[in-house]
Amino acid sequence: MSVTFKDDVHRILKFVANCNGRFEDSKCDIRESPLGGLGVFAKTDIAEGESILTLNKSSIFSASNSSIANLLCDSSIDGMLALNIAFIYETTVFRNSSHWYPFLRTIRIRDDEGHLNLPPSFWHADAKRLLKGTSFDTLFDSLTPEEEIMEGFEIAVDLAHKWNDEFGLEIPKGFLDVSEENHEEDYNLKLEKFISVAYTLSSRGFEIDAYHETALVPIADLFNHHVSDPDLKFVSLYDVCDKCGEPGMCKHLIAEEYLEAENLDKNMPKVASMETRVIDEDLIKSLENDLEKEHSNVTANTEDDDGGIENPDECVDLVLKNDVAQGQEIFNSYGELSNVFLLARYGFTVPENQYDIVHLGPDFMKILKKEEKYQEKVKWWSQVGHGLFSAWYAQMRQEDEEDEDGQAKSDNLSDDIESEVEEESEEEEEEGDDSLESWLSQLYIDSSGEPSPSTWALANLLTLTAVQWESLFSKKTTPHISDSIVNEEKLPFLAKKDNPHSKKLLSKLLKEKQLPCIKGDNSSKITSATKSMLQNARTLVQSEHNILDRCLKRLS
Amino acid sequence: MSTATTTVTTSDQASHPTKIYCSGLQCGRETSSQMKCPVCLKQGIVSIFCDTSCYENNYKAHKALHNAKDGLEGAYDPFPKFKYSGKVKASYPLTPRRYVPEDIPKPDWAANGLPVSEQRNDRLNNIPIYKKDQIKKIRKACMLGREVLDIAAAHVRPGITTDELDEIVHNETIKRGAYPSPLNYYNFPKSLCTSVNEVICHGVPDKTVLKEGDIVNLDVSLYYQGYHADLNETYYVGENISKEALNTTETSRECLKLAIKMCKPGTTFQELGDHIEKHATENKCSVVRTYCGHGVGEFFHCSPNIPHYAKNRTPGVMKPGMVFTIEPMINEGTWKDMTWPDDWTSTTQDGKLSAQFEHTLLVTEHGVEILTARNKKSPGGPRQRIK
Repeated sequence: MSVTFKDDVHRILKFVANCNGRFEDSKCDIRESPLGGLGVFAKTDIAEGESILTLNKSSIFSASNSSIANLLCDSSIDGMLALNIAFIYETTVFRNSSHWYPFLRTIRIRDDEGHLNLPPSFWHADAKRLLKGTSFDTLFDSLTPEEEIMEGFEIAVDLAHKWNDEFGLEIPKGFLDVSEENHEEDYNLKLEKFISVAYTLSSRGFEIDAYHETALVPIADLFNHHVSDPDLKFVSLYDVCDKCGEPGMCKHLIAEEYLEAENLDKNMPKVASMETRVIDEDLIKSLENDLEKEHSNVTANTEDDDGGIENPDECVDLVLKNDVAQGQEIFNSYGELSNVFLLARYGFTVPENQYDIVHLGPDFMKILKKEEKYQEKVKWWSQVGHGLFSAWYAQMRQEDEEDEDGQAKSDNLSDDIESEVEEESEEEEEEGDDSLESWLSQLYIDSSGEPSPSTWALANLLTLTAVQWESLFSKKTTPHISDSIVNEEKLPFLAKKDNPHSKKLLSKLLKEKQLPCIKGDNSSKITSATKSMLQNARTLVQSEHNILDRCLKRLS
Repeated sequence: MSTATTTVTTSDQASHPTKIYCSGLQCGRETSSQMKCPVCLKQGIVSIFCDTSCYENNYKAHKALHNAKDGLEGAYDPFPKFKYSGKVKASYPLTPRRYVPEDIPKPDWAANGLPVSEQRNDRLNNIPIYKKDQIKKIRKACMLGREVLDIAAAHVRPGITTDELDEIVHNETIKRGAYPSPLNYYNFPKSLCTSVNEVICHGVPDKTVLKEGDIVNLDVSLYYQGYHADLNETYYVGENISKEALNTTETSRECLKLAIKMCKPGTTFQELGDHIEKHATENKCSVVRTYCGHGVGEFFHCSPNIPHYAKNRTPGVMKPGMVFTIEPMINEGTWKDMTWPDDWTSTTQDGKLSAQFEHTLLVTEHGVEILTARNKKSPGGPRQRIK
């Protein structure tokens, strides 16, 4: 997953040592992982709570720590775009004069065969076919190139030229120097490189704090991801001053506090003592005593060795959440993520990922379009029914959980998925009109092979007889079916999971579902696909095939 | 907010306006109080405080003005239990805070010690770019700074106290309509920093007498028509200078010079330290890590932050219109520093020598302009090393 070559390891360790970082290399080993690439392994038994890596925030590579930090700040560029541009300048323009270079040169944007790392949204059309029809495509629309990154490249090129015009700062060669002749070809070539920088950095970045935002953290990015049982947690104080990155009372806060106090003072002027008198000698004696104490407490106030790790709030840590036995690989977690997310953002996939799902939206759409008899039902479901059912279902689940707290545990998982997907679709709805309608996004099978509640409900709805359909309403209006009044007592019927007609309908749907073929012969024809593309696509597609199989078994 | 004297000495009273300000360095407000410090009274000085809490809060700094024993003349060490690293020691009492005329524009800390606008407006990665008219004013402030430093430097000789040098700098500064920037900056008590021998920086002018063979750094900063200038040089006291003092001082002078040569648009701030430390190491010297060069101009201290040691990863790249200082502190022995109980004076941990030079610099289209450059008549200057 992480594209770091073994020879680079000593460079990284040296960089960390130069930064006074602390890596437990007496207890850990960086070597090749059976998962591919490098991993970190325990040399001895290590106990829970131990910190494996501690780095001062001055030794992580963020846009704020970079050589062009002030230029980015002047141009109000932040976030991942700032990090991408900073990375490009540091590794091309400043290179050997930059003390970040020994670390950054180990972060490679090409795989060991020399191919650029690209997210599936920027694969060539024939390679994209490997993922066509999977939830990657139909639910998350992750095969469509993201406008944002292409705009980012435009901005980066413009800035590079602006800085060059303004004060002669070299334009990063091979990255942002789009040539005038054969413009289109060169533009696309460099856009692709920019995208691979963005993809690589997104896969290795850590969220640090309000000042540094996302940053590259040496060594921390070598730990592999574990879907269910990570050993590590990444610790970083997020709440710092966004102007200077200081934790706690920084000068900005002191100044604000002072100004506030001054305003208060203005409202309540100090009443000066008008008496002519002198300060009490006893007060001076007690002040002398205090000073005496202060002096005896301070023994030779010598500053500690510089840039050290003395203030934990200024550091990032990787801390063990559990004991790790000798020889084991030590895992981190990037979050509870399905293969779709892992591939889109981190460039790898995990077989049998428990967060994977199979999306059935397009498959339902297909039969809904075909069959005239479904029209009315679908209209009602998409306009009213889905919302009504979801609300009722959520409430029922809540009541159930309150009733039987203990038993709910095993079900939590599917709940989580549901809420995740829901959040996701809500966000999408806010962002734009072209996103998938929420009733369609709720049609899926979870990784255990269980259809989602919405899937059951729609299947139950479609297989209702005409009489049953009529009885669903206490008052039905046509043609504006959305104005009909629903007989709420009938809603539980839609949640049923044992209706043989529904099972039949779902089985038919699943059997007809077209996922990409994963057999080797077909994919080997796709010339633009690299080894890792093929492997990731296979893992993702296999996972969906397995879910389909599991579901079919349940239905039969 | 108008500000100024805290202490009205009886002898000087006639020449001062009738306004009375609290003597607490962290207060400094105009007051109608009559509450006096009894210790000062006995020494014939009137120091007035708003109330007892002002007195309590500012006691530690105020106490530096008191004689060791009631009414007794003469210098004393205020920190007898402190383990000094070398021979230089604090020599109190300090002279009362010097007066700045009401009509001289003052930075906000003149009143109470807190540079509030500097604190609020400085963003770590926002390096100010000055326009032509602003640069004109900064250039003028720097010229005045050079004049003041040269006048003070001409008085460096065995027998003069650092406080007398402070008085010269103070008077020459206000004579030019400028405010001495260090005065009350975070409650720094004087108008000049004087750093003798093992003192790295931020030495407080006091009754210390310069003697033959010493080296002394004079760090002058002034605020003129809204802009600060900042420069310093290390001077030899007398003619009998040890080879160590010569080597440390000349190495420091050369370090600044070579760092300045690198300055031009496109140079990163992190590069400077590599070249400074390389030259220091070649001359068997070390580089102080705690104190750095800084942006200067509208603010006394702001971005960028410029460490002088090698392999630092300080952010930022130079652009025309930036104004900042480079001020390497070069040590004969260890680079490690320690701070006196006055919370200001920084010395080497091993008591060996430290020397420093500083210029305020402007990045231009194709290079750099030394705004505080020496002229033909400037005292001091390099001397030959001896083997």
